[in-house]
Amino acid sequence: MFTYTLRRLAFSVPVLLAISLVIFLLIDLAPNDPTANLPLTIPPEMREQIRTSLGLDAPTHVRYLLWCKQFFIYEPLNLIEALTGWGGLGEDRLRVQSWSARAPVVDLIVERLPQTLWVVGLAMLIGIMIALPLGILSAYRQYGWVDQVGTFIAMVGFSVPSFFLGVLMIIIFSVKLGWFPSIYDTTHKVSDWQSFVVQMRQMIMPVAVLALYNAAQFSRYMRAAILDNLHQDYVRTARAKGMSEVRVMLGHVLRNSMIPVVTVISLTVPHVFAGAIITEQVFKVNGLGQLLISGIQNGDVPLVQTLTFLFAVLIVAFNLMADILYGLLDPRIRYD
Amino acid sequence: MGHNRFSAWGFATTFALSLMPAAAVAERGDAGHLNILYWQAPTILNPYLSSGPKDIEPASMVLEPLARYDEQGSLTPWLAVEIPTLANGGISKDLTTITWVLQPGLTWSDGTAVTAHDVVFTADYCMAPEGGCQQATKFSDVTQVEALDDLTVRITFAGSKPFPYGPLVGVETPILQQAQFADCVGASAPSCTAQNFAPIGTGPFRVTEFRAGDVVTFEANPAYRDPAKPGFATVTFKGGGDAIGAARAVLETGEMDYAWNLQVDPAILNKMAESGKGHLIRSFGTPVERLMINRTDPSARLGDARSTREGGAHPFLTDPAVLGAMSAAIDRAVVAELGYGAAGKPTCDILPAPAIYASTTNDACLTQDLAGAAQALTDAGWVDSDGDGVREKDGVRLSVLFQTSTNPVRQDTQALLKSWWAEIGIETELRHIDPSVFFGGDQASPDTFQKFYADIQMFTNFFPGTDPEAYLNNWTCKSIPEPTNNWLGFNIPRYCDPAYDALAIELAQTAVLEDRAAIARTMNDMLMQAGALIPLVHRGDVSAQANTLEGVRMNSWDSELWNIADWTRAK
Repeated sequence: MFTYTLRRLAFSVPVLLAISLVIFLLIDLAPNDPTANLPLTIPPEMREQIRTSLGLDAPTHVRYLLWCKQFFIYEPLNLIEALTGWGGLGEDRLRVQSWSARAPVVDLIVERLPQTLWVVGLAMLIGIMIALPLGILSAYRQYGWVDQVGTFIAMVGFSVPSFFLGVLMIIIFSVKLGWFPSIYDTTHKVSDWQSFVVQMRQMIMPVAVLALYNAAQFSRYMRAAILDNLHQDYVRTARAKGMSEVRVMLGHVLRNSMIPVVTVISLTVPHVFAGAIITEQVFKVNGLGQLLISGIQNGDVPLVQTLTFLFAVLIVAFNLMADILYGLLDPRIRYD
Repeated sequence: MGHNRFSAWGFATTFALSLMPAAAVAERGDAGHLNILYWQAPTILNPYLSSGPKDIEPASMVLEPLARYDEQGSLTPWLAVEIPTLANGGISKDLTTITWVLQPGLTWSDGTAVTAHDVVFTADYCMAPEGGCQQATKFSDVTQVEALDDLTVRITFAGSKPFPYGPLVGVETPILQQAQFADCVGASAPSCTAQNFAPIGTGPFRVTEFRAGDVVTFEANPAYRDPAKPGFATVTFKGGGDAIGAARAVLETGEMDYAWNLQVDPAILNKMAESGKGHLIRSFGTPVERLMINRTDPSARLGDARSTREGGAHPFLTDPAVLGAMSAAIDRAVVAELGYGAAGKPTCDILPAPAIYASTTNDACLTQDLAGAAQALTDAGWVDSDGDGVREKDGVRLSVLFQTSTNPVRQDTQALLKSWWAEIGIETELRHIDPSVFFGGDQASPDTFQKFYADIQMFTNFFPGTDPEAYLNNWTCKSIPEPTNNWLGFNIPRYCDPAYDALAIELAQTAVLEDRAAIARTMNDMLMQAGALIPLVHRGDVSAQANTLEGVRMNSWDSELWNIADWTRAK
């Protein structure tokens, strides 16, 4: 297991390097121009100067290697220095800079993380907490009322797009009823009970929209996996041995059914960090999803490149984690 | 939210009544907190490194220029004592220098004095090579900026400059503090993140927190020159979302006090405004939605010479009868109402504002005249001889390719024009191109607005500030986009008239405002009478404000927040 993990980790280094190159080339070859959004009155010579000042006149491979140097060497060094407080203070390392904010990309990401983790992460947790029991009950009493209601909710969650549901909730709960704010205040700090309630109120709508989708997705996988297992011989054996239904369901069926669900969930976790692009826009949460989309709109290549690459790292990491979890869930799965 | 606001109201009323005599004297910050929503989020607060209004306008709450434009488009002294003119000696006789005098006693928000050296530094900061200063064109013909004493600055231009109010005037080029930005000149300008996020200024507010692309918080500047202002103590400047959401936050939920740039379907906006929490405000600057007529032949058989003067004149779009008929067939009031609602009014001029420059010669086009247009075509010999509904003459059919950028309003307008032109026997083929390609300026793309491989195209252009000289220069012969100049230049119709070019030279040598206006009106009329451009809609800006907000004077010539020091909450 340990050597397997090491081998996988070692293998992910060239994979990630290849991914970073592909992302860079894709973004570079796509038609985008950081000066396209400037007013038409800015003359073309000026635009050319702006592009030059952003380093866009250098050849592609030079820009790629510069990004690699900044991202793989400078940023980790800066992080180590910031954490330990020693080292080349005053040394002038050029960090990965956003073109539109003229600020280090990593700082922007760190600034956006709290609201994304709060909103999208919480929605993920709530989604899982709803989906697992719902999936189990739905499968256990297939075509019972829980199953019917669960199927209905899942269908709604899957088929109603978040830009519609989000706006609908704003119109009902903000405009008509006035219960919740339609604009998320990222500067709000939770210090006491009162401010905690304010934080809850501003999170309810975006979290609900996202949790519904997550719950819909996971509960269907959970239900299908349990249905597959319920008719297996080992379940009949367990019941014949006189085990309680709870023991059969949670001890045997659930554990075996978790394998596909773990795959789905662990591949969804990186999406938490990618933010929820549409939902963040609708509720003005301004997390990582909004950062990515505004970077794309502004032709902010370093920002988009760094963000996309971080998502790639997370996806590779969680894939590995899912593989390891398989081994824990099913002792027959061995990688050595 | 609802009853909270109500009780606060009740309290405010009692409070105001109990303090009647004192309430007459406003105090700094007594209006409390202000919420502003710009649906494009600011990413930097240094106008020299970003020319987007989303960055420049929040920066204008902090940074101020020597002079700026009020809501009428008139130049108003701001940090300067007065506007330098020929008459008061501020502009030299040969029109090559302008001398500004700062108000005495000005301080930065950190309490230090504002001097002429800060002004000189700001100019040098923008003119430094490698700094990537996005306002460099404002300084393009400045040769020297020098401090004559602590309050006097002289700007010297390379040649005579009849309108010298470019550099350090208006929202784009405010004064930076030398002490703060001294290490940020040239190549290091973009890496000065702390400075660019929280510049020290002379304005009514100072930055307390800046989160790029999300939110800015401001507080009243304790050192602001008017002790009774600003009215608000703190400001949250939120960004993000979309225009509809921004309108809703002001008009329907009342969470925000001011929302900017609401380019939304007019029907939706009017419906939202019925909620009674806020209202729409508008102002008109210089943007005009116009048709550009290709005066050269765009035919594909010409190869590389298509849409260039080398390829020859257009087969029929230089005929005044055809151009006049096409213009007369348009009901501009309908186009304005359907597409822009309150944010548009019909216009017959390419230069409709400021008022002093607006011509009235062409106003006949405001009334649609389909019968007259059809008659004019017949009189000119354009008749439908083969009965296919399209007029022709000498084997040339009146069939045009009409392109624009992809945008629902523009597509609606295209369809309207097509139907009107069909009624007078002109066939129209419609095409729309993705805006990033159309406006992208990619030399390799055949679909850019400069290459203009079509007969007619439509978009909006405008000029910043109030002086139209550079704008009118767009239609001189040398501004025609061609392969030899890499398709750069804004003379999209390929209009070339020596008489027009002569007027452009005369304008560049005229200093008295009234004379400049007369020349500009003549140039506008020449363009209109030649039919090089067919103006459709004078487009305004629409914003929304809460009903409780007072003192807003919306301005299309400068920042919308230009007088934010005067904003207060209704008592």
